[in-house]
Amino acid sequence: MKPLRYSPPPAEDNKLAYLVENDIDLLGIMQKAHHPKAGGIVLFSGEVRNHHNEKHVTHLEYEVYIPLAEKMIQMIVSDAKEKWQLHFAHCTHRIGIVSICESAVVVVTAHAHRKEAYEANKYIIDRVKHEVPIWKNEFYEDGSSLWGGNCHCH
Amino acid sequence: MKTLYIQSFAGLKKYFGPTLEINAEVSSVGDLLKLLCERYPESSALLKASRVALNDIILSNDYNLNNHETIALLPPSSGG
Repeated sequence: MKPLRYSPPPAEDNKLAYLVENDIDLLGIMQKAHHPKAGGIVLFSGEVRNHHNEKHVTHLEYEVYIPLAEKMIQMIVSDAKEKWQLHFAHCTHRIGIVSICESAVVVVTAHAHRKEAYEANKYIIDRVKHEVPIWKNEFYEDGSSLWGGNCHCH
Repeated sequence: MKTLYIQSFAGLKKYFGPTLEINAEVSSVGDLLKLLCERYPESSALLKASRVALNDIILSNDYNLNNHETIALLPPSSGG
């Protein structure tokens, strides 16, 4: 059985990716978020920190179940857009190795008011973390590694 | 007798490897999970918390498996 390999979909004008192997283009996403009716734009960047449970982390590696992950991120973003009537919303998640101080996941939301932009942003990242089939493998300075898996919502 | 291909992710790979071929008399997803727990008892806690998918569909335990299907075992998410 051949392993699944990630192949990004063909580039389309104005189409932002949900999953990327390289650095997330935060500025690119922000540029698309500006909207004449949006008074508040919120950007969340989930970054790799160098410590967890008192251990020194060297890097993370993200694994993904591709057939479902993109579809679910898209659905969660769409749900948020409808629930808060957002002018813009997007989420991009890295896959593969992500280093300290790098963005593993970015969520951008735009609304007329910051209250809704903040609420919707949290809604998206919380759901992405809980529902989307993506897993982090955390690597430590002592050479060991441990899979995450703190979400037991389902 | 069915031949099924199991694709595992994250912590489940420790028990089943990234891919596993199973030949067994199983009808449903529930049967398959029960079989995996019996053959690999150390996997059962994580397996019971995991979702099961066929391509882009999450399967319920009563889904009837077809011969030669590739089933993905998805442990609790840890993205972000």
